[in-house]
Order: sequence, then structure tokens, then C-alpha cells
Amino acid sequence: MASLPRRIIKETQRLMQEPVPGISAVPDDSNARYFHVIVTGPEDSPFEGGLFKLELFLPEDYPMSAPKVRFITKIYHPNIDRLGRICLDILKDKWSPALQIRTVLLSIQALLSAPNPDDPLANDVAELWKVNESEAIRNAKEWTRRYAMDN
Amino acid sequence: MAESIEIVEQIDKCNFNRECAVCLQKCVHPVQLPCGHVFCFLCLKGFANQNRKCAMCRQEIPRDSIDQPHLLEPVLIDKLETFDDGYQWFYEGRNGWWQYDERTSKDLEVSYKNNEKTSELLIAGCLYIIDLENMLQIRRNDPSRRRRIKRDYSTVPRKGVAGLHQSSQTFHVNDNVATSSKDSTVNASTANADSTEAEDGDTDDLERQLRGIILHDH
Repeated sequence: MASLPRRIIKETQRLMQEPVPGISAVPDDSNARYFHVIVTGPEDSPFEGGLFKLELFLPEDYPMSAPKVRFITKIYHPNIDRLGRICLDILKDKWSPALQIRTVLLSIQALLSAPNPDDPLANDVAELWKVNESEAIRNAKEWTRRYAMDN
Repeated sequence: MAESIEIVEQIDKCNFNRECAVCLQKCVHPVQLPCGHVFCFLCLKGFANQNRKCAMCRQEIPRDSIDQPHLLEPVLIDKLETFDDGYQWFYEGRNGWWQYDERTSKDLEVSYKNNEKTSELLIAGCLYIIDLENMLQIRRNDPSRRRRIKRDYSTVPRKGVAGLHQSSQTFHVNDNVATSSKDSTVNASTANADSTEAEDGDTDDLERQLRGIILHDH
């Protein structure tokens, strides 16, 4: 009954035709609002070499409200909690309907390059990131190896 | 500086194909905000209703930009495509019927032709259930808010399209204030008549919100 808004159709087509390097987003066969996402860990970050699975869901009133995005792959990052929830302003109060799936995923990839322990979601991770950054980075690399490689 | 470049790019883009950054389609009744960004009138209403900031640059949207939108194309209601040689879709406002915007009309016509009993449409950022059996438009998250709709000859009396008046009254090129002085003689109480009519558009909330702001200001 509910037809898919043209904007979602258009975004999906463009994602397929001009994919973003390092990011893949494929709609689910049975639900065109649910995307299976893979983000590659950025170079020169502790997540380099990892393939991170996420899920992205476009709510009913998208694009008036933000997509819901969550990491499925475990990740050691101060702004991502153990349930994979992401602390990112554009997914909350800074959402704008001119943003798109593409820009959201690019922002998430950028967040992997620039962890922000001063605005934490995972408190223990953020704490270690602040007091002992090298150990935190070691942990992040270890988790990347353990959870985000050759699965 | 980055912002001014972005604005120039946006204007360039708009001159060629005028894609709205919200619906990603060709702008329907393009409106330009003071910051230079252009959106469909209904897309603008949709996001301004939630957050009165430009979707591109987050600059505050002045009240006038919605009450008296700076339209980049005239609203030529008689030039709009009709169905089956002369039919159009309308929704009922407080003081009469409004024609649906072109895009919504096409969606309604498709559902109608497919004999669908209901369909769901996103209009100005809100989800509506269109009940084609009872000819009603019902707000999905607030079913008490409903309007009558009809498919009728395009020549029946109507107030305008999608909350915008026919251009002979409201469109002036290079004029930020889109209401002519002639209007004030046509409408006895201009300010009131205009705001009531704005409320007859698709987003009642906006009007209420704006009134709230007016009250708040004093």
C-alpha cells in the first residue's frame, strides 16, 4: 500500500550508479527502507583494513527525520557504544533533509578517522582514549582484527 | 567563503534543472530563501515546519519567506496539466477548495486509475492517508485531522494551488514581497485573509507555529 517515495528511489539508484568509495549500501530485498551497509575502515586510522557492517533504516517521514543507523560489527570507538549506536550530531539535532544516505555514511566514515572522546557514548572507551591514547588505539586495532576482518 | 561558492553553485544548478535538495526532483513552485537556496514550496514548508532553518546552510528562515514566498516561477494554475481532458484534484480548505500541486495530483490520479481504495502520500513533510472511497485526506499520525478531497473539472472555483494563489495576484518578478498592493484592495482585511489562506495549505502546524512566534514576539 505504502509506495516508496521518489526521493528514496532516486537515492537508491544513485547509490548503485555512483557508489561512494569505501562504502556500500544495498537495500534489503524485502524492505526497500532497510539498507545493508559496509564501511571500510579509513586509512591511517586504527580501523584500517576492517570491514564494518552497519544497518540503516529510513523512517516513515524520511527525509524530514534522520535515518536510523547502527554498527552491527563490534567496534572500539569512543562515540559508538556496545550496541553499535552512534553519537553523531547529524543523526540527531543537526539532521537536515538536504543530507542523504550517502552523506550520512561519509560522516560515519569520517568519525572513524576522528574519534571524539570529549563527546562520548562509550564512557570506558572514551576514558581510556583520553588518559592513554596509545593503549586505546591498540585496543581499537585489536578489535578491528578480531571482529572486522575475514568474516 | 565556502558558503558563497556553494550558493553560487546552487543557483547555477537551479538555473539548469532546478533540482530540489529535499525531494531530489525538479522543483515544483520553486521558492528562493534570502540565503539564495531554492526549494519546492511544499518541501520548504515541510522542513520549515520542523525547524525554521535552511536545509542547505542552516540560516534562519524569516517568517515572510513562507507567508509571502519569493517564487521564481509564476503560479499559472490554468496551465497545469489536467487528467482525462479537464479533471484535477482538490482538497478543501477553510474557505474553499485548493488544487493539489502537480506532483501530488499525478500520484492521486495513478492511485485512482489503479482503483486503489487508499494510498499514502508524503505532502510537505507529513504522511497522509488518502481514502479514495470516502474521498478524504487523513493525517497519518493524527487521524482527527482530515480534509475532504475531490476530483473535479479544473474549471471549478478554487483558491489556488497547494496554498499558493494564482500568479496574477501574487507573482512579481524581482520582488521579495510577493503580494501586490492590488491585493489589499481585493481583500478587505489583507493580513488576516492572507494568514487564514496560508493555513489552508498543507501544513496547518506551520501557521500555528508562526502565530505562536508572533505572540511570543510581543
